[in-house]
Amino acid sequence: MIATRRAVTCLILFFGLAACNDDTNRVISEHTSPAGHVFQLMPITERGVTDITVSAAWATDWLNDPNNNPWVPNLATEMMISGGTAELSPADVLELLEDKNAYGDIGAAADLIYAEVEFPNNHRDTVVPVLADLFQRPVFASDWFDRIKGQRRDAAAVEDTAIAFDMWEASRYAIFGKSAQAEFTNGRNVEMLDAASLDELRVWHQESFSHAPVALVVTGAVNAEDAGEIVDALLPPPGSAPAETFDAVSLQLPEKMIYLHRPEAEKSLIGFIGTLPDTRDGKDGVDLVIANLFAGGADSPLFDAIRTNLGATYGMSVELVNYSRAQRGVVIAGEIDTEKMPEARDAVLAAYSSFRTEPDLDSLTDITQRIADSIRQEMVFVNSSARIIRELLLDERDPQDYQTLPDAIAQLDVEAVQTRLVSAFPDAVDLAIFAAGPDPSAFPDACIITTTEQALAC
Amino acid sequence: MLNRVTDTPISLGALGPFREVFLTPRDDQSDVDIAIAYPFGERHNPYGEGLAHYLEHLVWQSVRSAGADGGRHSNAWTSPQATLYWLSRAPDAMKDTIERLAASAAPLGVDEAYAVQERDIVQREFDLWRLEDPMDAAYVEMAGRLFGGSQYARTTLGSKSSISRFTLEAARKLHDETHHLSSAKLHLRGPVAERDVVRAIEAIDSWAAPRAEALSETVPLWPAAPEDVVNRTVSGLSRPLVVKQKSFLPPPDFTWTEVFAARNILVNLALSTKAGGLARPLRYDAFLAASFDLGLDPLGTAGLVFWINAEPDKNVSLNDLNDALDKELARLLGEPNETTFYEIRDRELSSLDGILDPLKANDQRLFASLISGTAYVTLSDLRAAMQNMTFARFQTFTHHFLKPRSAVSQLISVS
Repeated sequence: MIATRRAVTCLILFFGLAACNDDTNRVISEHTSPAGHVFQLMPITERGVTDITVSAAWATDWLNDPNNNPWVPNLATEMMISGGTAELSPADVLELLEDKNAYGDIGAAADLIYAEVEFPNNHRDTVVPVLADLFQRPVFASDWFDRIKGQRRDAAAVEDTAIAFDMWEASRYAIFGKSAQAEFTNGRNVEMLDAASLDELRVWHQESFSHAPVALVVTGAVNAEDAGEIVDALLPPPGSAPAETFDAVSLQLPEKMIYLHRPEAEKSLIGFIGTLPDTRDGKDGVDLVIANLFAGGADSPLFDAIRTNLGATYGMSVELVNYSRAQRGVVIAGEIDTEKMPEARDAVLAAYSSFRTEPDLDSLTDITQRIADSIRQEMVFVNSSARIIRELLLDERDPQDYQTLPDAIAQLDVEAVQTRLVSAFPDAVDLAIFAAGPDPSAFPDACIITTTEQALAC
Repeated sequence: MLNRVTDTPISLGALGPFREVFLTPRDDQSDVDIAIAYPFGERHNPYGEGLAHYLEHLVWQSVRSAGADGGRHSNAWTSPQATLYWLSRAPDAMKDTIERLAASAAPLGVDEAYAVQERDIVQREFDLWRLEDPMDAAYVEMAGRLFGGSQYARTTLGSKSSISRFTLEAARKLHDETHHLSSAKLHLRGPVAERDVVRAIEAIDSWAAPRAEALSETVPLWPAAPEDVVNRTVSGLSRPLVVKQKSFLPPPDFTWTEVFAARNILVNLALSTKAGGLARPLRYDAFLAASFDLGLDPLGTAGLVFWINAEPDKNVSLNDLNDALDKELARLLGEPNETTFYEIRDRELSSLDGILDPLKANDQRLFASLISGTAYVTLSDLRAAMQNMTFARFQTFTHHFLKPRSAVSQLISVS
């Protein structure tokens, strides 16, 4: 009986994934490496799969300390990935990784540091030592540092930037105040950039990876034993001290509309931001469905209101934004005909309000099916699978939820969406409104600013 | 579903009124994506610049709103060479979806008020994509110099002033001259069988008839011109920039499959840190360029454009960087490194072999060719051409790019 059931399962998987080489394919299990790293492993034994992905995240508290330079995380990660090793120049590293069809990536958010490497199993012995050097023993060379700082300085110093860029920068000052998080995210403070030193990068590197990752995942053409060896080769031994975490303050949304006045601007923009719950409540999939129902494609309520009926814009978008894991928002934004700005603001708020309390959910099955299809198609890939499992871990969810993620989306019903809309999505009156353009006269009650930092006082 | 096993979209040949119908059978999606592509884009448009894109907006309105459902998952694109409309709906709505897409060739059903409103929407689209691009004017001028004011110099969106002069009457005229089902290709992707596609098309008993003679699908070549070097100042850029563009006719006696195979090797060789590549002499060994990027892109099937953008490193002048680019490009094309050629070729072959879903990749290649009006080359054909590419043949290819039909370099300072 058991054998029969297994045969049936294999037949189904065969059509879905051309798989079933053995019983470990896409089975997720927890392991501990010889050095003590705890990781999730999902072997993929399907035909044609030769890559291995290691994806990890570390908690960081760098921005908690006002004495820490907020430029350091981004400068350090760029130096790590592009600065070469003691034995290989930056060009040699690049050449080797390209030759072996491998990559390494490191990036910093306010609360987490993400790292991901991928390489074909047959090049493991050549590539892993180099990636380990990049990661554990970065060459923080002064000439490379000057070059990177120079490029960032020039970008930060540009005054004549697009008004969308400036409007969102103003929004971050309004939400986060003159904080390290605002400076980190905006990346415009040239004085702080000039003050950043290689010693600070070394301190950041030493502090950031002295404790165990908060999520560590291995996927692809690999077994448990090899995965443990790879993890131990790539990462320093896990420290025993618990990771310090980022003090994420609640989003402080301004009550007054903020209008960035640029008299010379030839166009206008409007943006709305509302707070959403932490992704650790496990409902961000419902949020994605809701965003698509409200704004996905022509005939959506937002498209109808703002383009079909008002003719005010080419299109508006809805995005789910993570300023950090605990600081989430829903952002509605678009370019608007300057003369129609007041009507556009009112039309968006009315459409959102009506959708939130009385949504037309005729498209629900269609939308959930499409999102589920797209997740299934993405899960074919080794690195996408690693990222999905990593995100589940960071949300403190069961990594086994990976297996049911598309079905869970496909099965969402009207009640689940309606409940989430009123329980998690803010009332229209609680949306913060930001605008930018040449003519603030239509918004007499707005806080009018001419530089982004003036948003601090709104 | 009864379909042959395939790793490429299936051509059903000429079917119904269509020049060719393609089916990509996919069981990993619930709906059927259907696109109709006309081989006419902005380069064919004899009227105001950008009118082909405005026309696409007007036609899309008819397509998406023709039924009670299905407008949500719809879109349309205009390129210099083609115009494409797309709808995605359930398999049981396939016949209706094909009918709605084919109605893109029927007389325009929009009124004057809608046409005026949609013209404003196109202005907003221009605002979104181009208004604040600090390099926009530089690129427009560059295209003008490179293509000598021919149709190839046109931008798909047009300009603020050309958009303001669009009329519904001109759009109707262009529509009548370009949207003919006999020149259109139909592309279907989803959980459907060949026989269902054939039956759906055969069950449709009425198709839009042509109302005017079609424009020529062939666009006359742009004039040849010697290299032009221009100094320009731009605000809003973080760094100075050297931008070089050169136009070429296709290398004689090369098929497009060979061109794409050799192009992929050449571009990867140029970007490479290997011997003979540009990365070490420009960026790593000497700090001449803080960054650079390049490409060799087809102009439909009429020719190719080579481009390179490079930012000078600290204390490097634009003239010095431009001279270095000229010198290194001449070396790259005149004396390509044989060892590196084989290494890059093998790496590209290995990369093609590593594609997990060739059907999906081929489907994307077909779709891209329909939108861009470029040749459709399957992965297996590309692989074979790459495998068979000898160094001598590759040299013939690179030497062709030593002699451009026209060329322009802009040395861009930051104000």
